[in-house]
Amino acid sequence: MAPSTAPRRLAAGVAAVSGAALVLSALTGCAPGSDADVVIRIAMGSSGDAVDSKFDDLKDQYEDLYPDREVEIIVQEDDVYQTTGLATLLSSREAPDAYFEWSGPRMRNHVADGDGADVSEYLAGEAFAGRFDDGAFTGMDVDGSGIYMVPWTGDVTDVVWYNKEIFDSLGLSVPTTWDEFMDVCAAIKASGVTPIVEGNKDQWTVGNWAAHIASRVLGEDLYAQTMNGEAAMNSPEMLDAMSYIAEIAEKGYINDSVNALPDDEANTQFFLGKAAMIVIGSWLMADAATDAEGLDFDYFNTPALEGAGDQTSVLGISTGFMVNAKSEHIAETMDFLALVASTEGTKLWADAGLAPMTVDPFAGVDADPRTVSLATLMSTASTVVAPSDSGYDIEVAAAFYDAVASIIGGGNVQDALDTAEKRVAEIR
Amino acid sequence: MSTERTRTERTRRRLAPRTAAVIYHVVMVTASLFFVVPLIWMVASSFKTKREIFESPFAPPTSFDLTVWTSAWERGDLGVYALNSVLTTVVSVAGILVFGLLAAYAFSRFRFRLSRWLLLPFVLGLLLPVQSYITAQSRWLDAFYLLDTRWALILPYIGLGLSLAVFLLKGYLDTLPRELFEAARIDGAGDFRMLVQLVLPLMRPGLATVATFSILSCWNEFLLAMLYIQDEDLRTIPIGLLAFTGKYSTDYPTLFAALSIITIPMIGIYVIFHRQVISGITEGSVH
Amino acid sequence: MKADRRWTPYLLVAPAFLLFAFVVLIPAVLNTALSVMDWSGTNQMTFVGLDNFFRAFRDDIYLMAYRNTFVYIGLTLILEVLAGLILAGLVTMRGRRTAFYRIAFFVPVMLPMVVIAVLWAFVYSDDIGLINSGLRAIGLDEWAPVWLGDPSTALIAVSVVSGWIYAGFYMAIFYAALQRIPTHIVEAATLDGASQWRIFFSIRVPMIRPIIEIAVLLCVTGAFQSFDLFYVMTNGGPDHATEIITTYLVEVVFRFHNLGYGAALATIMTVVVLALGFVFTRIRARAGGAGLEY
Repeated sequence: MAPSTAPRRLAAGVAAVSGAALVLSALTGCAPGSDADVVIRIAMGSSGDAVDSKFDDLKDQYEDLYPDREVEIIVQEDDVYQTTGLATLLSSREAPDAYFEWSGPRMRNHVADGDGADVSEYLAGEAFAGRFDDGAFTGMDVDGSGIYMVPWTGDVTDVVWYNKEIFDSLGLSVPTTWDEFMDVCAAIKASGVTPIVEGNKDQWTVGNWAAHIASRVLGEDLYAQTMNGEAAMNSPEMLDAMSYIAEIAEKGYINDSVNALPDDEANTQFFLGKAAMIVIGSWLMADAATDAEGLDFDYFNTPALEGAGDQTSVLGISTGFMVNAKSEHIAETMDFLALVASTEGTKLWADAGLAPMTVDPFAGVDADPRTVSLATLMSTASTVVAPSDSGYDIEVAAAFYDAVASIIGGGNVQDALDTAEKRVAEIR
Repeated sequence: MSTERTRTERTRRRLAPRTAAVIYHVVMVTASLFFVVPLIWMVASSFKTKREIFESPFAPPTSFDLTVWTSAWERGDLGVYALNSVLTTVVSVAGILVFGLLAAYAFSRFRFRLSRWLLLPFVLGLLLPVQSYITAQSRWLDAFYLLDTRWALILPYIGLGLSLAVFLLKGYLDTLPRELFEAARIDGAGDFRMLVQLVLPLMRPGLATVATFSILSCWNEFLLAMLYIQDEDLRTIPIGLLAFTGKYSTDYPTLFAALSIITIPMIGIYVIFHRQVISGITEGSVH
Repeated sequence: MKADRRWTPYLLVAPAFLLFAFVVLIPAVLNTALSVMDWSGTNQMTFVGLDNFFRAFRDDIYLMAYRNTFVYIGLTLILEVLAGLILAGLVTMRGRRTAFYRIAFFVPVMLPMVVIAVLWAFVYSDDIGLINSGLRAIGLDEWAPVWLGDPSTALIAVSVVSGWIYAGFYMAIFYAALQRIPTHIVEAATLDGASQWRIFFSIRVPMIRPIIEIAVLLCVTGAFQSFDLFYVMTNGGPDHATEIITTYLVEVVFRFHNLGYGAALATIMTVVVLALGFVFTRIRARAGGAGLEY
């Protein structure tokens, strides 16, 4: 071989090798089996297997109805979805056609980013006719115009669930004021059982409850201002509100592991009778369907406190599916969401322990009376307060949750709120 | 005199050592247990019921019903995740080895003007944490429509692996005697033939080291896989498992079964190839 | 003829360099540019000068993340490098029949970090965990804190897991290095009647000093890159007690969508890591060792 040809040979060799690598990875690059003409992608955070599997049922239904279409359900770990997952999905080029979201500010942010389509026209169409009362669309508009969401479920974000057997054996009744609540806790603790179990690893469980308490003490307006970062985190009212949380920590009415325990493990502990109460949302019923093991339990709303807010308020938020404004298959996507909202769809959700937002949430379903009563609690509430993380500024919520986690872990209330205020001031 | 002394030394040491050996092995077995017990506990727990796990964490399982394993495998799509991990790892490692070797060969055997400047970034890459540019990287890859494709992992994995590959392989090549290449050149071998026929066989230990390192890091990579891949069909094992833990977080037996399914083959492969794996990894550092 | 060969090295380097530039260099440069911007990823990018950097130095969580990272480095130097060295010493003490131990110590290195993190979250669990169940079983209830829920133990608990994984890794590296020490040196000392531990620490360890230095460098730079273990086990909590630079960075960028601020935090980290790397190489060069030479 003449030396002069060597570089060319080498170049050819390089090209051949890198070419081979390209071919190899091109082969592996294509996603498996997408021979359908239209593929729609639906994204959500996991609500547990009981609910997730129902979406697979709907997917099959849909693909039977429309043989040339295919549905891809993207289920992510719940906390990942809410924090990084959905954002990443939406910014990727293969963005989902529809995605789960809470009504209110989070939904509006998506609209502002150009990721939310106005679906009011479709909702007025035949497929959705008579499926929703107008009230179901509260919080799904932007400045009073349009509807940017197909309502799915109404979540009561926190109530106090209690173990009836433990209450009965100790002769306890449902408390209506905070003092009674503290007495109940004291009696349970004296009997050697943990009064309340919470899984606050991701900070929103106790965080939501603290937000509810804050709204009762601060009044709904000041609460909203605080959570929007417009009012001080360390106001005297806030100090007052958080002293309720501090009281629980001080008296040892909550599991020691509160800040280490993941939320669903706390559910399991409640179901196994390791604690008498758990403060969590209506979705506990979905887990109960598979995990409660025959436990006799019920719920009550957070007892009345002293403050400027409505003392019977309910902390809750409606959820739904937003349609991506950039989607090329909005009509096909709406066909799928029509199934979600249909009578059969509604049945699936009610069966799984959710409270659908449709007009006939529990028709033809042997729904659990507690699920039904929670839905009623939400729809008849004189005041519905939105949780701080889903309803307001997420960074402010994060600062607030940090403070709450610190307080429930035994930290000083004033210090915790001062730290939170310092962070919020930075964002303002 | 000196032989005499060593003999008494030896006998003295051979008497006491009985107990010394016992103590030694007791210490070593205890230390090994620290590394192995959590894994045994994980496997054992997969065969217990949720209530058993809660009430008696230490008790051995009462039955060995493998259905929980099969159901974890099926419900968790573990097969898909495993396949994705294999594909992503194989392509990435192939890329690292091929591109790394070519570049290392150039840096080691050629004197060229930009040599130092072209090598410098790779060296900096050894120190630079991926997090220090991930913000821009995610946007950058997105601009090329790469997110949520296998390329979103393969390209960064190759890039990340190249630093070490170039650095190590150049080190190996530097130790090969010059005469070898000169002799080959006199025989009329071109660069490509030299690379394939001469360098490749000699570089086997070096390539094995790079391959071991790269396989482990691609197989276990978590952050990029979490941020760049949302499509369930493309998820690799670490993120697939994360999704799994979210979905079955309270179904402890199923969760432990899934963890065991992922873990046991890896331990099996490792036990079979431990010599190669350990020497692969240590060569890289000792070299 | 010679002229043609001039391009060969460039052709050889090209695939590696271009790819590396595409996924590492260009993003690194873009990241620096992004650090003087205010950008949520969707809104209009605005130039804010060094504001992001000033904010970083006022950000208690970010500063705490550095404190935690350095504590973590300190702990892992003990739990990974020193423990690895001691394990290597134990393994070499007897020469033969230690393969089983070496295999056992190294097993965790093979496993995906997610598996380990989930597994150890259970091991540390207050209710079903191996550790607290064990402590309670022998009556040490007082000694059973909620490892991952208590700000005073969480960072140590995570570091122990890190040690569990990597002690075997460093053991393997040290073991390989120790095997290369010419046997006659050690034999001479044995004949002089020196104890095994003395031989290990005064003869063997000094001989593998360069390797130990590399291990320390690996451990320190590795600590800055940790993420998975913290993310899955504690996600920075409780009360930011396990917040390290990377977990906070991901939160700022991918949760709060402050891309500009996140880029600034990353830039600062890069400077710190590179500075540490260069200081380290300088110290070694002065001490006569070989650094990251090229």
